[in-house]
Amino acid sequence: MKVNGEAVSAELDPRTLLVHFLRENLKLTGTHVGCDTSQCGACTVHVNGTPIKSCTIFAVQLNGAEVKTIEGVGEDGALHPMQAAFREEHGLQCGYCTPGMVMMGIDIAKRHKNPSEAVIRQELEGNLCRCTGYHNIVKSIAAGTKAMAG
Amino acid sequence: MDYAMPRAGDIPALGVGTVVTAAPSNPLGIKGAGESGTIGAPACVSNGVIDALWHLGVRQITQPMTPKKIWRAIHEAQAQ
Repeated sequence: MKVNGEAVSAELDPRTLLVHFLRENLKLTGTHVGCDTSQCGACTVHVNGTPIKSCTIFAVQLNGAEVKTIEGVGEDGALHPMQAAFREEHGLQCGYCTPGMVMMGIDIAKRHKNPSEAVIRQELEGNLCRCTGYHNIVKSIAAGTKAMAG
Repeated sequence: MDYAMPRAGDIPALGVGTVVTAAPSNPLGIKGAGESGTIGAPACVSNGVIDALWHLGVRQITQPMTPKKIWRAIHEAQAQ
């Protein structure tokens, strides 16, 4: 598969989850494990452009796919506009849910030109945060969406 | 999960206001508060649950407010 633009290959126990392959084999530890029920979304990555929960898919299922993690969304050493928005709007406290929130935010921005607060909150159904009460996360995604629209 | 985790759609946008009464004991007028503001939250939630069940005759509930405990509180109140 390709991960953040680079071709990678490995021989794996077929039970290896994508999240563990990313974290332990590739040392891309920005993708987090936050639950054991597929509910929290801290493991969210993009597969062929679509956000998925990397805890709920086997790495071997993605043979030939293009995977993007939080480490791969910036370009030329600069923050992705969505990342910059989270920084500007203080969209985090402990930061554990944040990579998943950013990955989801990027996808929300792709599908909604000017999402209302209600739409953003609904779209975040699969991303849990225990610290912030979501207030600044929603603000960050709104700001990041505007920034991505250019 | 054993309980409903609040998601982004369950919580409204939060407004923060301040009412300032400066403490007379120091030049900055401040006191250390730590996280003492969280003390009221469990009581608030318990009162909310009792309010929601009031019309069923429930007058008291203790934590943890598990589904089993709510069920029992409702049925004991109805039995009276």
